[in-house]
Amino acid sequence: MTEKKLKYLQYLKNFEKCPSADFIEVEREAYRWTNNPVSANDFIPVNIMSEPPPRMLDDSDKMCMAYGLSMFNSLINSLKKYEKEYKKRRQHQREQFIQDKGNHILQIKLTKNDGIADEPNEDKFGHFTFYEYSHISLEHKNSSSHNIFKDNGEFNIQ
Amino acid sequence: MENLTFNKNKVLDTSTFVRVGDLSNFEGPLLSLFEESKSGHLYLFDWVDRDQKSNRWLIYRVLPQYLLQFLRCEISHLELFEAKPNRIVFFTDIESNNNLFNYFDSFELLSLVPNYYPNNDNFFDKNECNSFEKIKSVILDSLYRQKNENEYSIDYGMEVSKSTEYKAIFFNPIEKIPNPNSFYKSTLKVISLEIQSISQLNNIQNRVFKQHSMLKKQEFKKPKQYANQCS
Repeated sequence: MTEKKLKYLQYLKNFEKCPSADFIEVEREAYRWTNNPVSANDFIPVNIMSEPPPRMLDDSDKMCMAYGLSMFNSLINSLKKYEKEYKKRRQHQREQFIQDKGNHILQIKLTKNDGIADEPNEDKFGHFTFYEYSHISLEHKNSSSHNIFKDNGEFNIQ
Repeated sequence: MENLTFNKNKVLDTSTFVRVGDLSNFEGPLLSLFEESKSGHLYLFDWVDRDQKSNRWLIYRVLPQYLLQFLRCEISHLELFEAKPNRIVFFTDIESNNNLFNYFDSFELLSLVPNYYPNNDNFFDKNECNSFEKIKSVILDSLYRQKNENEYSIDYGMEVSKSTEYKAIFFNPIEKIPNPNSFYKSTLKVISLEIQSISQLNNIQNRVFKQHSMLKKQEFKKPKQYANQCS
């Protein structure tokens, strides 16, 4: 059996207790913003990305969490958070946001072999962070995709 | 990124800036509060743009009473921006090479491109703020300090340099003082009202601010229901 090691361990070990003890293996439906078609680039943590560069002002922004993947516990929560982040930004930043985060939501069934997650935060639209195991490629998992925008550009929230 | 016109000779010294916390953060800071350690002045780093190499931030000073109103969702991000004590806006492009914010120069903008103005329907959301209590504490300290400066000014009949801009907010524009006696009487009245409001720091009514013509134009209406709903 493959040994379970987290991806990006070389970064995680720079932090004390990273990930914290409340991260556990889960079986859970998860929803992540991606492009369509989905690729490995859709599963790169923000602090690992070089282009565009992560937003950092000082070392305190090199948080443990930023080496995990942002996910949500439901489609509607994921859509609402996307809409909120999108509308919060200036017009040109909205276009950048779509470039950076994609315009689809991928539904993934996480299993205990995929990695570890914390509990969804209901105050933050059911957001949780997921750390993949090193041998996992979530982009290859069976999944379904939901378009965030309708053809007329409105948010595709039923 | 947008091409900017700026003054290379006017550089903001950020070496004494201390980061307080983020008013808005999602996968990194979006709107971050700093305190200048010598003057106690508060500054915002407001993320406005990025390319493949760097992130661009506007830097501008904000007054604590407006920040408090922003935290209470009484004014929008745009109204907070417009209420800055002077028209000066700096910017800095921070590259991702493990250097701190103060490693990079911050230049004064000669004009602000329209795209960089904040949204008027963007309000504070406590759930996006990663250090609310600390931010609130620093803002309240700043208000107390401002109050003391004003008292000093009254007691000794002297101008305190930092309060000059503060008065300019209420009496703007001041170019000449036709009758110094009436000017100081009205100043005293304003400061008196301000002290009353500071005495209830957790429930500031800001009656003084609302009386000012500049702020009347902004009409502090109750925020509409937006996706960025204040919470």
